[in-house]
Amino acid sequence: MSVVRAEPVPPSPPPRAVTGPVAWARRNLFSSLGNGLTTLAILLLLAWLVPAALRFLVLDAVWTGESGAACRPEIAGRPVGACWAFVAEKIGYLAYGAYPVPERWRANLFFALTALATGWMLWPGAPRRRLGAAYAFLILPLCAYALLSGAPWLGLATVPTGRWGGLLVTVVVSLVGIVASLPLGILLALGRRSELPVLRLLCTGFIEFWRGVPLITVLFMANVMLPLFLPGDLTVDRLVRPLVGIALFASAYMAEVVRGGLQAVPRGQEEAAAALGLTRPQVLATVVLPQALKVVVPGIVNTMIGLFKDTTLVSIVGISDFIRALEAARADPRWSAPSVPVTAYAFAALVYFAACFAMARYAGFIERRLAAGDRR
Amino acid sequence: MTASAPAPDSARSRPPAVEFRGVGAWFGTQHVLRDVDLTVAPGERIVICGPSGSGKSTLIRCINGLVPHQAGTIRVGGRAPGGEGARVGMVFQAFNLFPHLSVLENCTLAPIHAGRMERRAAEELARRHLDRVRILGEAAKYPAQLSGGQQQRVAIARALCMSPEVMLFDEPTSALDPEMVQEVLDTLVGLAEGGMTMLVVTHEMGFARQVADRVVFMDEGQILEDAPPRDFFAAPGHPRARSFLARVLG
Repeated sequence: MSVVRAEPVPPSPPPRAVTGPVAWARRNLFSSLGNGLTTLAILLLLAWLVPAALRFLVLDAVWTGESGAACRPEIAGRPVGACWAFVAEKIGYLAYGAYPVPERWRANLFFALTALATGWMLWPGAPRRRLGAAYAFLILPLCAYALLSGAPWLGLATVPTGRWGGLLVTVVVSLVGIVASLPLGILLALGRRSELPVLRLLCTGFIEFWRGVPLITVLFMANVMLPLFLPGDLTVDRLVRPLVGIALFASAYMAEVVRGGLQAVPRGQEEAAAALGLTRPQVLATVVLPQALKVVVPGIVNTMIGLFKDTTLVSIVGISDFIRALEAARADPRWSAPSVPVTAYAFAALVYFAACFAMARYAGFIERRLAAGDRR
Repeated sequence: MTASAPAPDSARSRPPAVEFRGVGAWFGTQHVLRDVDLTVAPGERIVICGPSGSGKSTLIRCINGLVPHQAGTIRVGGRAPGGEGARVGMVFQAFNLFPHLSVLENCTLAPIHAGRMERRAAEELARRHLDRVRILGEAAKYPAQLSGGQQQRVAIARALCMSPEVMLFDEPTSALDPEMVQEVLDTLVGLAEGGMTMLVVTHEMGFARQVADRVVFMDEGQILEDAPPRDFFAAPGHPRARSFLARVLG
């Protein structure tokens, strides 16, 4: 017997049980016994953690004070949480290290110029992006060098890198690492897939060498061993040496991430582009790399976040980055109070978290935007 | 020698659109093209058929230099394949549209970068060819939003934007759902009627009958038969062509 429908079924709204907050909670929080117990456990954990954190960071915190005395419970006469007064007084040192106070506007200008470049490059709808790229990759580095290091012919006094410190150094090291490692990593990844055996061998060897060495070893080599090998009259700045080391180290990791993306682009894409008469560099620039890099945005951002946090290692070879500045600041006897070290580390955690979270969120935004080609 | 509208009477005075002389190609030690001789006059439509692995795809990939040949000579409009000036369009079985570019951008990529054309002129050219394959309405969409048949028609428009002297088709309907085969074949017929020189690898024997000037049958890297479709389908000369036709036509 055959069936032929005479009347079409009109669409109707969903039943009440699948909409509304109760249905939402049931579906997402208590859909099974295991999920219900997990939800309860997490709620209990939050109930224990959040008030404690809130009390320490906000309610019992000391916001103003002239010295560590303000943060001592026996003097304040109440339980004392975070000693934000300490951070408030040391913020200049944490931001610029020993950079001379009258010259700190130069560091501020550098931060502003960097923010402009970052915004210009990261905002996909920004006007004149070509100009922005020229600014970010050519003009900014030159300006930054003149600004921070000094340009006597412009009336800017020289500030030796030994006096740079704090967040300034962390930003400089991270930016140089990130900006240098992406293009270098792409070149290395392409070289590793090259059909020329010598080039392939060189790139593979380079990548494997830098991946096989711990970053801390690279930094020690750069700052302690390298000067011993160089002829006496040749000196390389002690901030530049680890900078180069970090850039090469990060580019090796970046190369492997990018290589993964290159392998995800089907062979037919290159064939089709070559059949259209595009040259090899054009095929790479317009067809292969846009697709490959899109696939590995999470991996690239992961590497960048890792690099940003790894820059704290430069403090071990005597460079005063943010963490080292924090260590030096909290060792100040004037500010000896029980909660100062915890406050310092909590502040560091907040700063690093804010930066890394921003990078991760930006990556998510870019991923959704790039997914335009996948939507159906 | 770059006039693109072939008139039948002038065809004989011009160099062949494609010429193979004693061509041999190897993949490693595997001999994939063996002593291939083939001459295609401007405006001629050639259908190439044969069992899989017979060298059909390799043969047409030699024409635009995607596959290098190690013996013999190939001339495309009198020039070496894959070099400057040899304009050969290609359409693939798997479409190979660029998924990160819109339909319009897929078509303007080659004119802008390889042909050094202004963006505006390239877009005008692309719109003309998209209109020709009747898909102009989808110009702003991305390939993944189109059906297989639509994607393949975009791929044809993309190849046409190179203003090719020769068009190569590598099984253009093999990856399509049955109901979309016809729209692509219709597009090919339209191109053929426009006088385009075409080499088509296909199993669509109806298309071969309707459009082809010659049918080339290949097996094991050799051309075993090269005949007008009437003769080829009525009485194939080579025994392997006979058994192949018996299998394909059922």
